[in-house]
Amino acid sequence: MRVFVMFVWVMLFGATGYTLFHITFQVEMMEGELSRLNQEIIKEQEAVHVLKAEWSYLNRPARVETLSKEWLPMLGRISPAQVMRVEDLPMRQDKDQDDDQPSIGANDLTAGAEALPASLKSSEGEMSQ
Amino acid sequence: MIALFRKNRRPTPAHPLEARSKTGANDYRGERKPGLKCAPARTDGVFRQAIETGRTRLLITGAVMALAFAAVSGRLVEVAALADPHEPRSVHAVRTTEVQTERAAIVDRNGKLLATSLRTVGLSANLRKLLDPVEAAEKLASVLPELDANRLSAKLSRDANFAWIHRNLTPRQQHQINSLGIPGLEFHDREARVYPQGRLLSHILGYTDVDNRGLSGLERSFDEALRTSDKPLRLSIDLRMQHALHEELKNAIDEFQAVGGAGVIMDVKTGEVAAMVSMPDFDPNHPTADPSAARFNRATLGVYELGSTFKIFNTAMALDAGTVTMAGGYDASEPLKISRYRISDYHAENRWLSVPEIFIHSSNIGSAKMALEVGPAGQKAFMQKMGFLDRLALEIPETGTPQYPKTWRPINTMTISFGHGISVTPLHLASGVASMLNGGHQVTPTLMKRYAPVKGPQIIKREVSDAVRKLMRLNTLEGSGKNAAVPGYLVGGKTGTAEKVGASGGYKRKALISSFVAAFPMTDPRYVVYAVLDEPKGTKATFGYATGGWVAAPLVGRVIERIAPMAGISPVNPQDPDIRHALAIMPPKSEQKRLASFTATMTAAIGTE
Repeated sequence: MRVFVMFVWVMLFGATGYTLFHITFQVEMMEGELSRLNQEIIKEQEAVHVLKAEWSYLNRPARVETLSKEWLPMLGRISPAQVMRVEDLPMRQDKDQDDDQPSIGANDLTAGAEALPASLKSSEGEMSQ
Repeated sequence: MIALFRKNRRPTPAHPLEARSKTGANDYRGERKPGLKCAPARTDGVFRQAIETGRTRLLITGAVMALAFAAVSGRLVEVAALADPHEPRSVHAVRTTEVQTERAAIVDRNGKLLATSLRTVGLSANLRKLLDPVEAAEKLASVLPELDANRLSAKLSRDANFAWIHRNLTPRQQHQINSLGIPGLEFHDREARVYPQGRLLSHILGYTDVDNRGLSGLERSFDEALRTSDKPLRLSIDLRMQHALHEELKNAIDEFQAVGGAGVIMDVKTGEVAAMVSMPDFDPNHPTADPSAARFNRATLGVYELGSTFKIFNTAMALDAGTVTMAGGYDASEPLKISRYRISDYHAENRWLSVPEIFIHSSNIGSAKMALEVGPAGQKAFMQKMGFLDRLALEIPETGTPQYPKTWRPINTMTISFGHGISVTPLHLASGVASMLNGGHQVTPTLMKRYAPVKGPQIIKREVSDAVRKLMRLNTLEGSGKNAAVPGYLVGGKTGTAEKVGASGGYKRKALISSFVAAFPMTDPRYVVYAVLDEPKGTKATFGYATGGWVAAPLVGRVIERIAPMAGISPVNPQDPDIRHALAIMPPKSEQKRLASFTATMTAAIGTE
């Protein structure tokens, strides 16, 4: 009985000691890991910071315009005739309903009118930046 | 421990502690008694007492020790497992999402980066530790070709402790210098202010010195705020609009060989400056590379006589004062003579002109008469209300103070009616026009993003504001502003051409300040666009003209064409009856005889009759 009690005590002490040291070492290790990660994060953030500046530099409107002129020559300056609102697009019409209506693209509009379809109210609403 | 002690002693029967044995202590004693020479009863009592005392003491000691151990273990468990650590932990997780810099960034209204600080490395020398300055200078110059070896060695040979060699090294240069192995060189972590957009916003942002102190522009006025804040400074500027204005202004200056120019795009409802350009400009990354004249901000610091664009204010003033109505007019058949001055028209019509005609033909005679009816005092009060007599209130330190006559005589009133004799900054004019168009509320310009429209005090009546909108629209349809018309965006504008004051005091015929101010869409104006060119020269394409209508109006038109889609303004059909009705000016019903030509013009122009 005494031997057993002794044994239990010794084991308990041993286990406690082991666990304590184990946890201590683990915490130390994890703190080391944390500070390493922190440093890495700061390094990455600095890299991101620099890259943001570079991104902004590479996206200078003047540069984008030059690139667009060189590689997208078909996209010239947007004329007001090219700007339309979704509401102004003609709706698709079901054939069985409106046979007598002209089909899309066949509208024989007078010159100058086809480009400017929006109503007066357009200048009032949706002026979000 | 006590158990251990007991166990060891058990085999020694003679030991007093044996008495504690459970196996018949009395029997043992009885057997042993004869062996003892001394008196058994007394001895026995003494022993027993001693043993009892010893036991008790041992017990107490043991108990105390056990308690102490228990306390220690309890505390151990508490410290290790239960309690909050009272000491601060040595390592914490980083929480910042942005890099901490000494100076906050500046971004445009959409968050595009305009100015930021980057880590760099500076190189200095500790001259006391430097062994051979000449050799060190030669070695350094081989790595840093921008440094001159002779000048550097002179710098390093001085009798001082410290000398800067280079302030912004690249990592590669740092590595190369490190491998030179020169003792006495020191690296310093520094921050360099970087402007990724280069020249685009030079006068707005300003620049900093080598120690990152703001020297001009917003860098100067927000120096303290940028140092203490982590949050980027958000401007009202829209980078895309800024680029459009910058590019078009630059092209126009090149085309007409102007000495300079300025441009402003302003939100009519909030007073936010969406773009502001002054030419010539400089690169804030290298502020001293350009001549110092390039650092002069023509848009906010330069004051100019801005010419006929002032007729907008003159007409609004007269309509608001009620001295004339839209149907009224003045005789402009003969030049005005007052003392030794003579006021004549550039586009002389030599007849009676109605108020809209005075506006679209830009009649100086008509405007002067209109102003005279209001009177010098009324005009001065109006200009004061407009803010044209006060220094411009803007966030940057480079703001100009208008020049105007000290004694406001009738002749001043007459010249000021068409924009001579009073000098204001281009931004004064742009915000003045914005105030005329937004229903008559005073607009205070700002470079900071505003999140809601700001309604200033009412300067002119709402109806007058409507009339001004119609007049400006009519002017791009029929008058001097035709070159600024953009189909679909309902542009309205006014030209301005002023002669510059020469060195001798008189006006120079050839040196002009040509400008154009426009707003769109005229049914509900959103943006005012103003451009002014300093001393443009006419070209073949403009038939030699260098006036506002020829050089500045097309530029403003192109800018509007580019910025309208950015602002989300969709084009409308100007032939729409609603729009024509909204912007129509009814020709006066009376005085039909004198107005024959006027009616014809109006009918052709707006088609409502």
